[in-house]
Amino acid sequence: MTNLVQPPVKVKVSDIQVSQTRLQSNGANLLNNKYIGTFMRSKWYPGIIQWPTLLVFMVIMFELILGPSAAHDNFGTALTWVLWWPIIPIMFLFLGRFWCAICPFATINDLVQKFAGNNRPVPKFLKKYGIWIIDALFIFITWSDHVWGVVENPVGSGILLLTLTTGVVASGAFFERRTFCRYVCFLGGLSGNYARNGMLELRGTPEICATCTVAACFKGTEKADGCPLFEFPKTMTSSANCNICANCVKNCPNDSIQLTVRPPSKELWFIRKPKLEEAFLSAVIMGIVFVQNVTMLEAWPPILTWLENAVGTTSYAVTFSIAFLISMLIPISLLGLASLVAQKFNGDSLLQNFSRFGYALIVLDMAGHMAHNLFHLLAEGKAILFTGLAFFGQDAGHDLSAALMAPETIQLLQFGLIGLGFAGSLYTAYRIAKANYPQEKLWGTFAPYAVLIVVLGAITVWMFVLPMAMRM
Amino acid sequence: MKKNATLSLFPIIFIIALLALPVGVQADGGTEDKGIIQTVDGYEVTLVFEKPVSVGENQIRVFVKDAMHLPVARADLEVSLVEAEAEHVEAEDEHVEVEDEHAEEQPTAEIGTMSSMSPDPAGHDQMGMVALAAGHESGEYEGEITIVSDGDQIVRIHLTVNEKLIEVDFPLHVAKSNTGAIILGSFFAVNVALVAAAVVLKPKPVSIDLSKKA
Repeated sequence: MTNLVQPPVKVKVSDIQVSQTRLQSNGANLLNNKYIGTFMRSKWYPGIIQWPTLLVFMVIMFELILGPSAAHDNFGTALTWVLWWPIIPIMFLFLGRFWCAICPFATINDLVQKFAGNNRPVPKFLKKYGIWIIDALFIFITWSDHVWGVVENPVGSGILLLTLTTGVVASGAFFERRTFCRYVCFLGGLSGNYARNGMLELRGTPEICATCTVAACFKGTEKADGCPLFEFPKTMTSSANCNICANCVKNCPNDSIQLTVRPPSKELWFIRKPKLEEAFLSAVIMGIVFVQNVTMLEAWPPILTWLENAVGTTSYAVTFSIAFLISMLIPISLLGLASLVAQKFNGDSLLQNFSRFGYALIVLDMAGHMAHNLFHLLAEGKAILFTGLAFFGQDAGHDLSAALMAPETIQLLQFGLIGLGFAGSLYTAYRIAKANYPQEKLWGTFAPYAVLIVVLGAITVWMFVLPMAMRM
Repeated sequence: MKKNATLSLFPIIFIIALLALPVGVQADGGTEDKGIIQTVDGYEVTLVFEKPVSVGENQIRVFVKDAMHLPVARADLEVSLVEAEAEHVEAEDEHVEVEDEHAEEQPTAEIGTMSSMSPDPAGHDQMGMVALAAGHESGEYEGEITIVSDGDQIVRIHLTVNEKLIEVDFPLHVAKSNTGAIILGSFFAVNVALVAAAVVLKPKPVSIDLSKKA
């Protein structure tokens, strides 16, 4: 086993105290459960889920590239965009970043690394600008989806997956651990943000870790590799980069690792070192949810026509880019505006406020994202069965409804989710204000963000009231 | 280690196996001699594809001759494309309509109907009507049609001669293109090159021969 990176052995007392407080307030250690503990310590975990996932991924790839050219007939399209994409934010909520432990791209990364890995250290620019690169990639992929029709075109989806595969192959071949997943993968950035809102928390036990000098969780042992995402459970204060792969659980000689259940959004209340790029990403995700909804509305063609007349071109790349930019700018500028107002009350700079309270939007982001994808999952869900039957040469029948539920029921669930997201975001903004400012500054700081969340929530609800077109 | 390396090869072998799968052979195009000929109401209509038929835009030429085998120069020609299966479904629907002509309500579409999962009613006429322009020769007409999906299709020529409309159907099988295999192959090659480069550049373990020193 090659270990080119030294573990971050400097531990601040404050970090341990924070970890201790949180662990105490969470539920019981799930690893103490006989079944969960045995399963996660087993050499079969996570491989037993990882390998079938890779196999399914290969089938999807085959179907996307070589299968039916129409999206509505393609099993790969149905599995990717009707099943996987809607389910993934739900998974982030309940299991944190667990998907990243079984992600086929990560498996390919590990395979290539074992076979040909150079295990070079992560380039400095990736460490410095990683999240910005993820932000940019996320924006670019969403833009290209609309302009080049990635989702609607199976080959386009296939090329996207193949490009990501090439990225992980390059990363696995030359760089250590899962450099791509941590610093480049756009889904990794999204999952990192969402995992903060997730209900699973893995941490070291502060009292045990304080006396540890071996750092086996980070370095790895003969039992398992070190943390693939460069985390050190001893000082970990966030679940953003923990994929619950259990390598640290297997490696720790002191049985220090705890896996607990926590209330959603709890981590967001106590972000000690808020980062501008992460707050920016949460605003960007809100913009992406807006643009995804807008382009599915029946009102979209008239908007497009209006834009075409306004800018004097029928080029979709131009008109969509303008709509996309506006959608991005709405949450970013509103967050900036709220931060400007909050500045008057708490004395912190605009950027400090932006960075700190941007995290509050993650809850509403996630709810909006889930609500949007719920439509695809529940209104088009049977497409998975139909295209699956066709894939195996069976007749799927004609003119059957692909809906799993009535539109009214789906809409009700969407509003329920948005309601929960709205309340969660509002409460998170309150807790952030409470954790960082004295009582006299609390309400003045909270108020502009409360207004912001009400406005963003109202826009989201309004979009879900309007009729939508389908993906498949 | 050897076992791991063997396991590592599994996905690569799998991809190679996928690439080795047979790809449909494309339909032949050609000149008038190689075209598909249909005779309806005494008119001989020949459909010729400039290039092998594929999904996407296809240049076509149509030659029309009358019963005397003379070119028909002053005809209006339009082309539409129909999925063969949709045509079959339509025929069945017509049959059902005759049986149920007194039925009060027809089933209506609702949100979530995967009508496009099977032959798309909207795609029944996939590209609308395309008018053909007169070609270089007498009785020759040419234009471009867009085929949106592979499989069995019907090219329908709407021929109007002396104010009489004649529809001529040309069954066609559009084979799957091998673009997918090329894409997979290209990515496969790039990835193999990356892995090969990594193997070459991989730092070699340093070994010291102590016996020489002694």
